[in-house]
Amino acid sequence: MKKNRALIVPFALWAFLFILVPLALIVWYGVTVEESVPYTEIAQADGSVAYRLEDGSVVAERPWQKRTVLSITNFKRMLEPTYLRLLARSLRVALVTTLVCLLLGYPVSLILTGRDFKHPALWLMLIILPMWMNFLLRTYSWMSILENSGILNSWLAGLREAAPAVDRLLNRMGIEDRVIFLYNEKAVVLGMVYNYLPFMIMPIYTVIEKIDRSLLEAAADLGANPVKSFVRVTLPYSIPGVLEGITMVFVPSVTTFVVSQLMGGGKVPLIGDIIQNQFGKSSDWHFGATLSLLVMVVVLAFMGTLNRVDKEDGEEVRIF
Amino acid sequence: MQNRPAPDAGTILSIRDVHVVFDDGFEALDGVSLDIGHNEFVTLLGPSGCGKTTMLRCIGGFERPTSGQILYKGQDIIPLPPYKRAINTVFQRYALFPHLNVAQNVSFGPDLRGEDKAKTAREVGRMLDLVGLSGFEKRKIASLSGGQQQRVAIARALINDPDVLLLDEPLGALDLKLRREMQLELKRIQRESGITFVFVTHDQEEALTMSDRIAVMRAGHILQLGTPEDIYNEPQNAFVADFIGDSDIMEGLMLRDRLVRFLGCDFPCVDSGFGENAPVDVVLRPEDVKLKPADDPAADGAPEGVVESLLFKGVHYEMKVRCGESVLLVHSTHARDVGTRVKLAVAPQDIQVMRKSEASEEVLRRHAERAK
Repeated sequence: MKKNRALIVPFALWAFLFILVPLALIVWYGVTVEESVPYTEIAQADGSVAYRLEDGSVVAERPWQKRTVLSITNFKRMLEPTYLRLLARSLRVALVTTLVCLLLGYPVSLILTGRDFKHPALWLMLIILPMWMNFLLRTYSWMSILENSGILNSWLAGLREAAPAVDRLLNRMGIEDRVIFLYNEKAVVLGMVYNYLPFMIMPIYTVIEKIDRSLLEAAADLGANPVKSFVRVTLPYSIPGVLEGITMVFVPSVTTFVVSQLMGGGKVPLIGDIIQNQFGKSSDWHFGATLSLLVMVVVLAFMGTLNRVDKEDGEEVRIF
Repeated sequence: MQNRPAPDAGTILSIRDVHVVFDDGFEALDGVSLDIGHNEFVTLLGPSGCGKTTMLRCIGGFERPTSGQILYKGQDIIPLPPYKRAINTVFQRYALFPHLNVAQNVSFGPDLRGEDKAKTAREVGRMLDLVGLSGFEKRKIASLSGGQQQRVAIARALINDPDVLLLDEPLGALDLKLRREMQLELKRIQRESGITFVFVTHDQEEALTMSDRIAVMRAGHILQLGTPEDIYNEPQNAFVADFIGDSDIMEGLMLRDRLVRFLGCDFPCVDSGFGENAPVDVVLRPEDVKLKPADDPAADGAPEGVVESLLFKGVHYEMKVRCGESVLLVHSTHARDVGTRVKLAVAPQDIQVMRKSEASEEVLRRHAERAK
């Protein structure tokens, strides 16, 4: 064992340089602000103005230096309703995304692990296949399908022409021209579900697939029909996979910014967008770091809760 | 086939010409028929791959026969899913639910039926008592030994009061001593509960100890069906003889009724009806082969051999005696030193003569290899 301990050095180094140091930097940025160096103006004998700095030195030009000081200003700012609302929206979008992924992903996993299901590996690959393509490309594809002059709307227009009944029906529903799919919260959720669904399916599939078939046979033998056998055996055994899937979808959902910018068209900013903004356009790294810390705390709290659920059921669920 | 109960009111389970062909074309069962009576202990015995577990799974409902009928109290149950059959199974590796404790495992069936909790708790207590696990209610499955798990599996099945209990090599994972104990225990439970047991094993000793009747299976067929005594004393072919107990199997020639030639000598026997000069398989039980001194005048004309090895086996000595090309296994309470010249004597009624079967060649080859 002792000999092998040396093997951890590369990773420890990596973790220190690329995890701990950046984290410390974020914390540092988060709790500090930049402020101008304080000075007082002094009228000179020749009518010009000089500037006296705190240390008593006098300079002729207005001091431009900034200094970094500890401050809770950004924390106060973070708690302004604007940002709390953004955070709330981010959480809502992430939760809805996670829920939809779960509702779609669980049955898919169940079907794929079915005894009579042929070629599950092939289907699993088809599910994962989109992930081989660039995230942006996938999202842009959705936009070209959904935008106002996109594929779906042009099909609808064609359908209206071909079938007047459809036209009348749509008109009665209040849709006169085009259906506006994009640039709202639903579109953002759709984009996220599409991108994160495989992360829900994979862990659930893996766990269900590992359930000993003889346990299901034993349940059937003891009188459980397929529904009861699901409730009493498959479901409790799949909880660890479900919790993992929830984490895998929720955490990236709550921090994402690309999907909301593209599918939401800037109308549905999430906390991730604002953070990105601080490091970009606004170039206020300090406030960006503070917001990052906020999101981090939220994610940690979420995962802590999940862990507790896992542990409470632990005695019953942890089997492998 | 001997001792087969007539398919009357005494028959609870009737398996009729059941075939199972797997997706890959393998014929797991090739026309199996078997009637099982009320409160009977029937064992399906055979080497792995003989189809015994497939047969059990067909009865339990986990495998669907390609053709044939399985009648339970006269009704064909093949279309019924397992949860609609009044039959319970003790699975090979028990298949206990690890997320439930002992009591929850045992009460799984009654809980599914929504039975009264207090009544179920009493029943669970009674069942655990029956299998010798009183006080184990709250224990976790993972904390139990193999033998205890096996008994939980039995209690979990028995609490449903099935008419038929299927057991798939339930003792396979236990050590010898525990296995012996559980054999007696199972037999007791079966007798006391009045339940029909269909037991699958590849262990011939287990089958002989516990069963009312044994069905010896090979390659998807039942080769012989009978009481343990029948199977041991009157094996119908070389495969059964070889599988049940130790035996010496060799080629012989039935010269005429009641006279058979093997090991180069002619022996009077009790079998007839083979015709003249018919090639047959001859089976001797090692304890039936008597060793006489080479100069014993009473053994004139008997085959002569040399003791090649001697092993002490507790109750008896096991010797290998080379006799020309063959090596015979002999059990005797009298040890003879290695190298001793002996003559072999066998009483007529101890010579089992059987017709050549498809398994003959394989069995004979295996026995011939002993001589090398």
